Amino acid sequence: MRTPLIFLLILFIAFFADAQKGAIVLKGRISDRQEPLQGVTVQLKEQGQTTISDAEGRFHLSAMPGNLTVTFHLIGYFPKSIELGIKQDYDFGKIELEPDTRALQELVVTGQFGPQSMRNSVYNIRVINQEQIRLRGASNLQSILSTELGMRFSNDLTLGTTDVELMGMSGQNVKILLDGIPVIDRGSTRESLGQIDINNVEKIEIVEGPMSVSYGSDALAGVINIITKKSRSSKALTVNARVQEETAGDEYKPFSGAGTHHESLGLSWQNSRFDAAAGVTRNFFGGWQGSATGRKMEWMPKEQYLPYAQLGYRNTTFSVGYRFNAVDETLKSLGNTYINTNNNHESATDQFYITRRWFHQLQSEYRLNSRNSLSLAAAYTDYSRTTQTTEIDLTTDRRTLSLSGNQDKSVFNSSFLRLTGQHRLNQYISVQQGLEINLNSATGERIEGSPEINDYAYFASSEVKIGPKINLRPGLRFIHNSVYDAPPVIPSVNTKFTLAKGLDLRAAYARGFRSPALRELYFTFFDASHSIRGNKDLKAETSNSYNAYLSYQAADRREFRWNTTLGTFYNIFDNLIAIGIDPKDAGINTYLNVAKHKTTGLTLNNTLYLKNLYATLGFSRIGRYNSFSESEDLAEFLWTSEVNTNLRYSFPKIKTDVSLFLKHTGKLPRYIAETTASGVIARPVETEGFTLADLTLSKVFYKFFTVNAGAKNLFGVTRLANTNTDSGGAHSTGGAVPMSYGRSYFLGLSAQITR
Amino acid sequence: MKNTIKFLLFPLFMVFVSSCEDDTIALPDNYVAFKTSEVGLTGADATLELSLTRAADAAVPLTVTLSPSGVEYGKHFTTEPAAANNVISLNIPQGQSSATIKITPVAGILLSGTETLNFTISQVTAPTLIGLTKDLKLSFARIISQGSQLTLAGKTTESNYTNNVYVDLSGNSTHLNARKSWNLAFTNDSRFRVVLNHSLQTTAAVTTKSDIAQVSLADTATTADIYLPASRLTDPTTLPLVDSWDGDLTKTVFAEVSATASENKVYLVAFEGSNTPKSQWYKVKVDRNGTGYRVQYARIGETAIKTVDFTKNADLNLSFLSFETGAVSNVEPKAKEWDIQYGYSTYNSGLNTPYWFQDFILLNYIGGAEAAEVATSTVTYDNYAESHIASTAFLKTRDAIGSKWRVTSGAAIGVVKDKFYVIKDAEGNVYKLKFVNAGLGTDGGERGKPVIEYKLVKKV
Repeated sequence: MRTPLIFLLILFIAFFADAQKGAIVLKGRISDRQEPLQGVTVQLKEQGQTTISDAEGRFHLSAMPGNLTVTFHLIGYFPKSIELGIKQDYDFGKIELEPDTRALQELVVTGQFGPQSMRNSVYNIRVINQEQIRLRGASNLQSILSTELGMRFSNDLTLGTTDVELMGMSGQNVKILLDGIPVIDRGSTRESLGQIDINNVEKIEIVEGPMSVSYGSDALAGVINIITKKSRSSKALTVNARVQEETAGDEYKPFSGAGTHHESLGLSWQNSRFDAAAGVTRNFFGGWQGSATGRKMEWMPKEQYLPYAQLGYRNTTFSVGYRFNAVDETLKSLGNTYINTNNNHESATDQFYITRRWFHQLQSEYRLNSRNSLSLAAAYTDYSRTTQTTEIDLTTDRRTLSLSGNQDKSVFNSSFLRLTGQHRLNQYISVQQGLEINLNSATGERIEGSPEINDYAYFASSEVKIGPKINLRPGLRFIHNSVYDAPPVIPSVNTKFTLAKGLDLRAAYARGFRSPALRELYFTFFDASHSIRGNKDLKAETSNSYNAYLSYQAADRREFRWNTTLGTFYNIFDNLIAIGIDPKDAGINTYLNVAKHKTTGLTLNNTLYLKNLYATLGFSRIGRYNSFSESEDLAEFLWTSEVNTNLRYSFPKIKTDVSLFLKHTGKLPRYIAETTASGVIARPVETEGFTLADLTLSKVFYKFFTVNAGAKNLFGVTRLANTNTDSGGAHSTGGAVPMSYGRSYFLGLSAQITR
Repeated sequence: MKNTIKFLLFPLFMVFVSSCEDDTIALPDNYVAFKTSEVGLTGADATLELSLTRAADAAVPLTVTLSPSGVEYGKHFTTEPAAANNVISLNIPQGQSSATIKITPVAGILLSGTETLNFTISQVTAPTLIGLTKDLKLSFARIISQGSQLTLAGKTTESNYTNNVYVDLSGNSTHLNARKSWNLAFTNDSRFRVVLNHSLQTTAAVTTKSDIAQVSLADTATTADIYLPASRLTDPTTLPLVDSWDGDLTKTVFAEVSATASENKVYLVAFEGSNTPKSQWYKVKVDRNGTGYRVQYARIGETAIKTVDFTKNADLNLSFLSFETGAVSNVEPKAKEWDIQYGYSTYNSGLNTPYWFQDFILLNYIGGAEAAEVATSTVTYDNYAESHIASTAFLKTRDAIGSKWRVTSGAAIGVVKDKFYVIKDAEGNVYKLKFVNAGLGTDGGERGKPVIEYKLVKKV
């Protein structure tokens, strides 16, 4: 491996080419109205020197004496500049910056070289911020995302899993990141999205369109980057606690059994150098009986423990943090009773699906100087999923292992390392380059052997500013994989043009890819009615994506802000992996690069702030490719429309917010192949439309406490009618589509105490 | 203070982590029991099986007490292992799951048929427990069972459907046969019909030739493709490659064997393990040989043709030929000594194409058995009595029960609970029968070992 050495050498040279000396020293202390501000860029306009303020807001800057203009920049604050003539060392004393609460100043990190304001990002990024999360009263991430445009969740009640669909593409094409580090799942279903502690989420950033240059495989439809809470307060000690009780439709029992029972406790501590935090969330869902009878549940009970811990150190140039996130989830598929033929006792067979994920993360940043910085992200994931079948004797209440039932433990291990260097060559050109290593291994039932897949990538992108109005961001990623022939190079070009004041156009072309998953390479399943084998000769799925977003800041005053964004996209996916007949052996099914897919669509988002009112109105129309259009005279795309809105009104005097989150999803049409007497025909079917809406109320009292209450799923959506009547087979896609379990009510209390 | 808290957090956290480790779940109790509570001695001896619900973790010593009625140990019968004072000591070794007792009547004695021998499992070492069927009555004559529960053990370590299980309801007995032990069967009645092994994915097609020596791999070009991979599930042309699954012997792939050898065509035959590539296929010609059969066969590319001659056996429905051994054997019990068979079978995929079914229940329709499906909404299993027989519509087809008794997927997975079956056995006794479990969904059973329960409704 010579590449990493060369890479490190380049970084090394870049850092030290920049060293310099100064004659006098300028210093000062920057704060907002309350707290010291860390990370403020302090720059000498005439001489170009730059520094960053430390955790106590202090800065030191060497300069040549003379007439100087010193500028202070921090995202989320209005910039400030001070002009003065200086001959000797000078102390500015206390410098105060004024916060800028305008939405577009919101900080984003996904795909950026460093924290960036949303307005300056070349990507169109959707942010679900802390306020929206808090007001939602959610116990998991899916319920927050369910009213986002282009997001659709599908629930597999047999396995108890929920998968996400983003802009017409299923979960395996969506990359889930936790603080920029990929979260692994055992299969194509993005179960991990439901296994993240909501209480620890600062915000969620969603980027639509491929991000494969920065994030590698799977980021075709887009990425969902979950940003965890960081200790930013200067308060030494913080205790967070939350208790929430929720009904499951009309089924509820207090604190255990039916309903959702959510409890969380977290502690964090910090001083100017160190920080530490730990906590745990317990999220119990008692299941929903629905139309099932006896012991059976239509929605499986789920028990989750989500602990975390973190430890960090930072100074002005260096920071390092270790973070541990774990998941201990048990899904309980309860069986109906039978009479044990050995002892005539009433008994039942239960199947538990136990997921354990230990996710260790190490993130470090080293800022060598104002132009060069290095970031390291390393992670190790230890994941297992156990299927445990047990028999319970309901007479004696004794649980024993089932001998005939399925017992399996699938283990996945993943090591991840990403080293990136950011270099600002001059005020027009910045470069980011990085090395990424992914090592994955797995064992378990239906996996052939103990495969290991190692993936190495080098990526580079640069941000070129042509004048103040044009921003170009070309990027490349080179990949080598130990198992399959990876696409040798993945390009992308993102652009941002400021057409007029407040009017920005973002246009991008990107190539995306998805590596064949371990299961597609190494699957093995042979029994009486299945002969399926993985295919080690698979190629990656690839996509070509084009998107453009036009955003207009129609008004940007303190009490009246209005922003509108019109977007469009067109994606072509090739070499999609699907199950087909092995060309070498007609008796076996295998994975083949055969399918293709396209998605296209239009989105419109409006955001309005008017005094105490916050309102959004969105519309999307997404077209999914109709593969039957290749052979029959049918429309190429099948369209689904969505409308969403978020209305929030604050009553500052009584510290109360009322929010409505609503999304209507139109009917989902598709075609199915149906075998009839006259051959195979394409029959149109559709899943009915539905409206999800949550109404919540949040009130702060005694400064530290917040009460949340409300109703979720106001329209009581349960199952969606589906005109596909094929529901008899083992893997039927027909029948009603489970969406939720009816209108639920919740009441929660949270506390945040600092000292 | 600050540091104290910092260092408190981590031990607390570790306590949590260690507390969520698994508790090991105990294995289920192991019960020892007889397979049924009543059997008759029909042959030269009888073998009783005591079985555990699972293989023994450690050797299981147990004692069985004998209570003879009208007979005396040593004078009229002996057992193996031998009894001492009417007590038999047995040992099921570690890893084994059964033990047997063989009863042999003393040669030359005269019995009236009313004598019985009761066996009781009297003692077993903990933790093994005594199961529900701890008593067994052996009659020294054929019995007509009042009813029993039986486990149909089709499953072995090889697969869930290694064995075909033939059930004699009146005798409380099961007979196992490995499904791969034969290839073709031949009718023993007045007809000359050839039946494909429906438990071995067998398919066949006729060639244009009558001389087996003339048939080679080249003939596959002009003959239907008899290899049925899963991909041909929707292919309607596969239907003529298998025998009619309703058992109609006039609708077999092989035409009735003519007395004129030149009228009998050569057939290509493929089956599980010998279906791809085509060189694995067999060519087969069946002719009459007086009142019996002459079968000639070989792999399609071979020139050395094997010939097997055999006569009809009126005791059996069918005579069974294995290509591997070239031998004709008794796969089934005698025609009147079985009623239903459980196992793997060719059946309708639902698309009117062949599909290989596990858990198929086949009726001894050739032997004269009949079966009917009764909805519990009409009359419940418990209430079904002799008076209902007249209004019960019996079917005489092979698939009268077929796959109807269980659902293998979806919400209703499991044995069908709202229907039961009435079987008129080959001798005319009428039994009502229901399936207790089959290891489908969460019914407490084991796939490949369904449990049936039946009761005598009317004795001949």
